[in-house]
Amino acid sequence: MGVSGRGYIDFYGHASDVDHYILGGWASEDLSEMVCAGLLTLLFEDGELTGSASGAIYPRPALGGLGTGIVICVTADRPMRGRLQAVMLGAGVDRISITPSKDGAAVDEEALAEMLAPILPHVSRALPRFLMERLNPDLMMIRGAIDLLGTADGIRVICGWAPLGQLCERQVEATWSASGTTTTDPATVMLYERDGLVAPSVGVVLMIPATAGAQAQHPRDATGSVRFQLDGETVVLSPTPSVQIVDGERLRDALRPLLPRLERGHAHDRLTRLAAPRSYRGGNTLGSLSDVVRLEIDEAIACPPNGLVLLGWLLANPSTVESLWLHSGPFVTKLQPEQRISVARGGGVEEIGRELGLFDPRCGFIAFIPEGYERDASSYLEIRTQRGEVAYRDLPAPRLSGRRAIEALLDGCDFQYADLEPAFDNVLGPAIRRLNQDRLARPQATVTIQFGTPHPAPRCSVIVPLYRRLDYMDFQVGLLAADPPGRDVELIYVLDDPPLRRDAENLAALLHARFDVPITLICLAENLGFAPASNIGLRTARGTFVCLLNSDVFPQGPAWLDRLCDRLDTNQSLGIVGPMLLYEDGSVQHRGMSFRKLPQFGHWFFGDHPGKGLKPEPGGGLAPCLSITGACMVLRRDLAIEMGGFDEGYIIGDFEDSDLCLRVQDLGLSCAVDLDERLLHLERKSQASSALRWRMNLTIYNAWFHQRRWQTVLTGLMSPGTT
Amino acid sequence: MTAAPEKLRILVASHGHPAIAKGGAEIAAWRLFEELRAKADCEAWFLGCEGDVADPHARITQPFSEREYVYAAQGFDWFRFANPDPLFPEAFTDLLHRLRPDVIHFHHYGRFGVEVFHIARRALPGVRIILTLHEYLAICNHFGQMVTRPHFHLCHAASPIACNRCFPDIERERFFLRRLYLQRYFAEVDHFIAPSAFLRDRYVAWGLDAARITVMENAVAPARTDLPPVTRQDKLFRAGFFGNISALKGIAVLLEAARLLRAAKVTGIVIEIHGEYRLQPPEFQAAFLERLAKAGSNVLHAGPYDETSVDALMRRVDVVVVPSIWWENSPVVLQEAQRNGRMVVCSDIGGMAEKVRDGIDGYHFSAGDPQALASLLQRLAGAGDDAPIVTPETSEGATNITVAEHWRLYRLRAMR
Repeated sequence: MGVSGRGYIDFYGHASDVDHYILGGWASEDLSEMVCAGLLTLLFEDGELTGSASGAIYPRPALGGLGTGIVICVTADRPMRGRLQAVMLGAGVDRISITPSKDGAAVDEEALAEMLAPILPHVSRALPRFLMERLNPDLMMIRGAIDLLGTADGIRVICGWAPLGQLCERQVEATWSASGTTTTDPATVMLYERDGLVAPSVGVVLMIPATAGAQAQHPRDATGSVRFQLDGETVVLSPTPSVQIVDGERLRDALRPLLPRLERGHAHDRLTRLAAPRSYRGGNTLGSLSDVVRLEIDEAIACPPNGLVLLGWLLANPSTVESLWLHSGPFVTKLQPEQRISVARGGGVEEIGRELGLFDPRCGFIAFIPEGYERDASSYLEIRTQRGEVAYRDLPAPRLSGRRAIEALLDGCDFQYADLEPAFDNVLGPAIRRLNQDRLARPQATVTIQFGTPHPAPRCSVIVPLYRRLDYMDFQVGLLAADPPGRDVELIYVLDDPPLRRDAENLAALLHARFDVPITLICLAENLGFAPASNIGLRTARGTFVCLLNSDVFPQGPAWLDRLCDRLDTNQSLGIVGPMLLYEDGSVQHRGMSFRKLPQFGHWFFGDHPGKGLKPEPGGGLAPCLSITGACMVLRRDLAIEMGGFDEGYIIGDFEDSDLCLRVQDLGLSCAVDLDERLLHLERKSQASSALRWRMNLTIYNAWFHQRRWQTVLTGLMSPGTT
Repeated sequence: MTAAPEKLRILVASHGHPAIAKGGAEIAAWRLFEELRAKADCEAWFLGCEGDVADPHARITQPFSEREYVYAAQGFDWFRFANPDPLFPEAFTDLLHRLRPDVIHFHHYGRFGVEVFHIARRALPGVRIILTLHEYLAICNHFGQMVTRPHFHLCHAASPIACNRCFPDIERERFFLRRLYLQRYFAEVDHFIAPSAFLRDRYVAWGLDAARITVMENAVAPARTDLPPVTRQDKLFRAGFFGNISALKGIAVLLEAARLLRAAKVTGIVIEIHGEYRLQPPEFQAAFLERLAKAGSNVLHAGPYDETSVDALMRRVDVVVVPSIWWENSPVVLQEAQRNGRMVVCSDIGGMAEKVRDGIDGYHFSAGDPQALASLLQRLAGAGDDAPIVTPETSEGATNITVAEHWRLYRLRAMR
């Protein structure tokens, strides 16, 4: 192979920091490729130096086609003395020499750098990397562009592209330089396939969290640039002339279209939170908060006219949530802390809490907003955090009302002692009261069926609500009918259990046929509870007296009702009278009620039955007492009507009896048990099991309602020294 | 006009009620109550218990007679005999204030909880509290039997270490605390009654003050006097087992002895087994039925019996066998055998060995040794000189003596 080309060295010098001789010049085309590798010997006046060489060629148009520019690097741990005589390329027969040009000169390191400066950009890829990094690190950077820049929630987001040739997500240190200042912060970089780019270019998103430095250097102009290391490469992104600089909501708007292109993962989640809209646009934007907040609404219950109950759960660190607001139509209402009570919440929520690192077995809540809900308006919750961030949560449409709503409300709570009073005063009490009023405000459809011809002018109307169990009616009518026939009693059964209507009709027909006593059966279209059912019977009743009776109370002999009415006839100051009631084993169920305060239930007054479960003590006659049970009470019908019957604010059946007795005593009349009359009472067996939690809590609700009405009166009556 | 002599007011209390469930302690308590109720100079009441009554009318009710009360217990800690029912203290105090007894005699403290002694003391500071100890319940968590788990070896003393070996899941400290707890409340009992000296010694070793324990039998029903004399047609020698059929009652020892007799081709001995096996764990029941099926014609399982039939059944046997492999205390079967004049063959340990004098009321055999039992039965059937048939004295007045002893104790005003 014959080589005939020529080459010249224009300058050379020793770069001590890289231990290389660097030579610049030009060579004819056929030589140029040989300068790039191989052994090379530099002949100096004082000796020679042989080392492995690397080189690069670059276009030098000024040569007019005679050759190309060359840069040659030769390892040399020290500078040689004397002038360079020649450069020997190759080995053996191919050995050729390049001579310094006549202006070729040794230069010092500073001059060397100056001379290399215009050349290096042209050879950056051909020279060894370490050399280039020393000679001009800028030339080794991967350069990219920024076309979107802005800050939201204190996080700086930079979007653009760069020829990085891969898709990945990395944590980096990002340095922002602008106007002569630089700040460095940890950042997350995400590379993604971006439309309109040609390989190896990929889309770049950088998130730089809020720090003092980042805040201070908010990139408001397009002059800055950001630099970071990615897998050993230095990447520099600079704004394009048309860079979009937007913050806050407009930044979020611009970011959301990117989200589907990004790989899912932790960084994606963060960006999703960041990009979530901050003004309510439907849905749940809690994920956009910097803090973990989980809020779920299991049930929204409208409490007409403008109240709302929310049942749900909230998982967040205690100091995270600053306030909750209900937006509904024209209302924007802050949920006061006392209007949200904590309850235990199972159903896997504990598991979620554990995963989030939030341990709160009582993360469930019941909240009541008395005024602030418009039923058909768009309604949602706003969550404000201590950081000042805001998120939104949509609400399920209310679906429960009436009894079902009350059950749902009471099923999840187990308040006692210190928690009880605030829970009922602020949330449960007023909410249930509204729900009950709403329930009773609906028109109450009834169907009245008359079996036999009713007595034209009964002395007493017996009113018996029926619920759940009908079989007692068979016994009760049989025992009531044991009194001599033709007596002036009107028997009114009020079926408070719509599904049992056919059974009740058939049974009433059978009992009428069997005993030939007239029976009035009133069927309710929905289950209303003891007080409303009794009151409906009361409005139908025509007797001078009424006997309000439970279906599980059985007489043990004749004429008891007449004798109780006689008591009222002969004693004008007696308002309500009832018999002693015995259990099936002959022990006392009821011989008058007193009250006792139960510490676990707010020290509220609850009915107390002295002697319950024990054999009756000797003695008879009228025993005055604060209250008698509604299981069997006899009073004048006009008095009952004047009182409005039982107060229907007591739900399903508790305390309405003592309430009526206390109201009657307010009129100056007395209540008493006639110890001479003894009826059987299979107490409570006809009621729903008290094992149901909502039922137990409903009793507490009724106690609360009773307490708030009667606490002053009862405290006076029950205090020692008063009789 | 002279004032009527003041009657002694006594409340007998037990963890059960014979009308609800029959167990040894509640029957003993009930018998005592019946005897006291019959006394002219005594006002007696009975307080029993029923466990885990759902939704009771009240905690203490009167479903039976005027003089009977039943406490509806709501859960119980059978490890340290603690009562978790928050309504019990008030209910019991109310009852005591209503009855104002001079003496409360407890048979057992299950369902009430040992705290009951303290509550009684608070309600009536002057009341005399007496406790009849049943089994070794305070000492031993293994149903008070003092046999080890799981292999039923005889145990001589409880300690946190030993008890933890029987119950590896219960730490030693809890056994220490158990004893601490029980003894704290036992301190409020004025006097203890031990039905056997053996049991008394065990409780003294455990930590009770010997001066506060008296050995006194439980009251049992008197023998029936309306039964015709037994006439026997055959020449068989009948050995009878009476009681719950359980491992601790030594049923395996008895059946093995029967098998040995049959293997030795001994004829003329019949072993009658009277009692209930269906109260036991299923594995035991299966094992018992299997053994029974394999047993020969010399074994007869006659099924359960009750207190109305026991006298007639006992009078048909020649010997009552009590092969228990635990200590026993004062098993009712011994008093029943005695009042029917039956000789007893029993294991040579604990309360049995104490109540049955070897060679006088019957004979002992080495506890748990079927060969010893088989040999003894064989010798008795032969009625040789080495083991003559003995007839224990039937003391018609045993119950009266027991009641008189109790009465004397009740009247001691300064018990401590």
